[in-house]
Amino acid sequence: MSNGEAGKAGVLQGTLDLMVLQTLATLGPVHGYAIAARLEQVSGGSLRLNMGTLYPGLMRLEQRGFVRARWGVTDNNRKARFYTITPAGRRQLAAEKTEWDRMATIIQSLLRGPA
Amino acid sequence: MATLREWIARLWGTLRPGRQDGDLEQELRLHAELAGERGGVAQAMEAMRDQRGLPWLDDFLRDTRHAWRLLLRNPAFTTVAVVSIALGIGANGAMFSLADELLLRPLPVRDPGSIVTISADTPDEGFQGGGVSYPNYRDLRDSTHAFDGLLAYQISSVSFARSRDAARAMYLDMTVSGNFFDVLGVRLALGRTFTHDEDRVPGRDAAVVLGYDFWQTALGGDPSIVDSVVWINGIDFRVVGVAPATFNGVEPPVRPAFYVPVMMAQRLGAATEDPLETRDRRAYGVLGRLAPGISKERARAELATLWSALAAQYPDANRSRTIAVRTGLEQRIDQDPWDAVLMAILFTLAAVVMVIACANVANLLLGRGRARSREMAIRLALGVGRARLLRQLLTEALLLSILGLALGLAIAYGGIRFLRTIPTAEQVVIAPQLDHRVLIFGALVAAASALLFGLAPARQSLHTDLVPGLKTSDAVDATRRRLVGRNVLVVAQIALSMVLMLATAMLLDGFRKMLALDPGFRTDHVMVLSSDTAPVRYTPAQAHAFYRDLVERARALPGVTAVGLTNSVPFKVGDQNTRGVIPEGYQLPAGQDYVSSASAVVNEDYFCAMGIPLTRGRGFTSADAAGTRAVAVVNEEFAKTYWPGADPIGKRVRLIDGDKPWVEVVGVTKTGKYMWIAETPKAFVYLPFAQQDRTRMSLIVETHSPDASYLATPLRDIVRTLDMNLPVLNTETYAQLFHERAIAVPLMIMQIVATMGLLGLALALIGLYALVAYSVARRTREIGIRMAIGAGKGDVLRMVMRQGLMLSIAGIAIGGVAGVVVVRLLTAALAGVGSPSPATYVIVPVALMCLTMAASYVPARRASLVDPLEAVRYE
Repeated sequence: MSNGEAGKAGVLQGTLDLMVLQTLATLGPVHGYAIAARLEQVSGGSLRLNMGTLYPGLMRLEQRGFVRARWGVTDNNRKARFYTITPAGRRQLAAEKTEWDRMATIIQSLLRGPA
Repeated sequence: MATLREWIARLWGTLRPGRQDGDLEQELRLHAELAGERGGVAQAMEAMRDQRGLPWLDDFLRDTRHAWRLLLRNPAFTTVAVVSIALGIGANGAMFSLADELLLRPLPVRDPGSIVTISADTPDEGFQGGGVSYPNYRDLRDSTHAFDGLLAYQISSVSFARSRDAARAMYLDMTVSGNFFDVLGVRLALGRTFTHDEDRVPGRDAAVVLGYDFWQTALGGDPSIVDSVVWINGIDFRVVGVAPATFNGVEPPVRPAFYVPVMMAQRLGAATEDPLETRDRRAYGVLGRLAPGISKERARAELATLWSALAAQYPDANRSRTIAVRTGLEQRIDQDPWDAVLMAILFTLAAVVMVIACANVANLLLGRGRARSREMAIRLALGVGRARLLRQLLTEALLLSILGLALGLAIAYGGIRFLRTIPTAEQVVIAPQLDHRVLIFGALVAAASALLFGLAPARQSLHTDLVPGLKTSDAVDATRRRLVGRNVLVVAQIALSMVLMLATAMLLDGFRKMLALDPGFRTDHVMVLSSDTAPVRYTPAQAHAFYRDLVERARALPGVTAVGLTNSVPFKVGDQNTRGVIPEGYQLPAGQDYVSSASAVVNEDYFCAMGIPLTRGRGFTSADAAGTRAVAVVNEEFAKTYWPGADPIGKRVRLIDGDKPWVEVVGVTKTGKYMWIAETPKAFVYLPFAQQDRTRMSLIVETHSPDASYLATPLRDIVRTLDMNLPVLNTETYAQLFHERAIAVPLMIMQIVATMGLLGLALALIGLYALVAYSVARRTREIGIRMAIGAGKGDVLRMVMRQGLMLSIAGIAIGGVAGVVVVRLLTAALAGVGSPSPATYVIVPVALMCLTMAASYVPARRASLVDPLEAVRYE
């Protein structure tokens, strides 16, 4: 499953990176489940990333140098892998945000603009 | 940038994964637990693995490992397959290296693709690739815009000595225009090339650039040679540079010993007229480097314009000649079409061997396909795509190819070492090598053959019906399809083998007859020695006196029965002359001013010494001298062609050049072979040495003893006594010369052809054997049942051999028909070899039949010995 495909939750192509990076930027070092939980919460339950989409996506971000991962221990003393955003990741996040805004404006004016 | 990082990370992920599977699983399990999900871990793992590495690389490595293990598990199959491919690649690699050496390899200069040959064609006479005279070259060079530079060169033979007092020896050299090395872009190993100044004044600047090989072998590779002075044809030359090891002149395989400026041509030669100003002496080869963006055709068009201007200005010199521009390859092929045709034939033979080898491997793979049908069916049922399976099967084929390539290169190396033993004349070096070009060629052949033999069996394997394949191992439909495929392959192999054998038999027969051909003169009892008075600038009178003395003294040597002189030793490379003649009363063909005939200048005892019989009239005598009637002797072919049915004695012939216009025929010799053992009969005219001036003559010394080699030293001494400065060219017995020229090369070709034929045959027989053995194994149960109900051993034998028989008959029939066509093509292409005797068409099929029967017999016999009880139980 490549990252271009839509996951089960109907994630738009290419937005996975944006969502994950933003979540990491907001929350700080967290493990994978926490990210999925956060996204579900923020979207009011409509965004449910399954493992097969999230973890390959995280691996990809790690391979591209946007996040860093370390094994750590959760509050319940469980061994988990914690992801942190890197400076390069922050830059990428900013870039993706700008691009998203730009696209959104274009689509917006296309859909709502003068007929 | 990030994409590159990802790619590199994933590359490492395939080769040495940082995160192991256990690691990934742990992470996923925690998520599953926290999320309360039960399943999905396995699929998520799959997705993560895909992201971790590069899936295609992963697959490829896995396929390769799997294929490797498979090959190790079936040593018989692997050995036969690898050896088959190796034989094919070895044969083709060796042939390619020879073709490369003789024809294909471009000159070792800068950007060889833009170097072209410029020559003067005489379309009326069908003569191509003629040289250009220096004045014409100079005019073209100065007016052309289509070329970045034009160079001129000529190969000549000069006398060289390390110093004035050292021994002299003859070498081939190249007289070149001053821009020679610059236009070619060759950087010298030592010293410098000729300067522009050294190209201006005739006779002033005696500079020489040495060839690398010559510098190493004859001068000991001494670097201090630069700036020292050497002796060439009586002139002191300063060594200014040494050419690089990779450069060996511009007319391979001839390797000049050194290069001198063309401005020195007149001083070096004995000609009275300046070769640089004689417009009709078309002696120079011209090469040009096309200007950037200019095509060959545009260059030719420009030159044609310049050329017609020159033709108008100097009509006598440039009449009926057109200018032609060719690439190096075209020029080489045009110059020696026999070489090219022979190469093409040998290459085709090798290609046929390769096809038979591939058919073998395909056959083996198909046989294995049956055993793997279950594996394929299971994998297909599990959802592995057909494309993926196809890739795996092709990977296996590729692995076989690579192994075959490795072994094949070793075989090619052996073949190349054998080819290096081709005998050649002095300074002609044919040295094929296993270089990167051969490696690339071998790799291409390996890849192509992997596709060839891998694709069909792979596709066969994939058209497996799933259900039957999963149940029993005897899926009827698929097997039947596979068997038809295999039968077709074996029939094809046998047919190809038949064609190969017919061609081989024909070539062998032809060459054998060639070797047995009578050349028309004696080849033993004779010693040959050559000398040249040009380097010491004898006058014609001095030259005549010298050679007369030489002949007399030679005659006085013990055991000598006759001493002949000739300027053209039969079969000697470079010795053959032609001249333009007009036979009296002969109607010249339209548009021609004369006809060409081979010719030689000989003394009175030549015919006797060489053992050339005279059939009419007389040979030359001492009465034919400078002041008397001009005479000539022709051969029977000359007489037959120009005066059919008439008595040639007394007829006259007009010579185009030379100072004696009319000669009268006084004798006729039997037509012999003059240059090549299988040549079509050539017209020949002999002129007496006493009435012609020549500087370079060869002594033909006939003795009582069959081995004339004892004369070498005494003859050399005679020359040295007469004049120490005279060069002595390599003395050798004529037996040696004849063997090298007329026997050794055809013999070697025969060996190559025979090897190809045997290889192809062996491979086809192996293929047939494997197929029959396979079908016996498949029919074991059936055989057991038959035997149980009463069939005897003989019946089983016959039953199995019938299959082999049918395939053989089909293959031989098809091959026979194709073979006849091929033989006809070969006969047309190789005029001198002749068509094979009718016996060939009987012997070859019968032999092939017997061999194929033997190949079927072995497994058939095994089948007949099968224990029926065992067989019935066989699954």
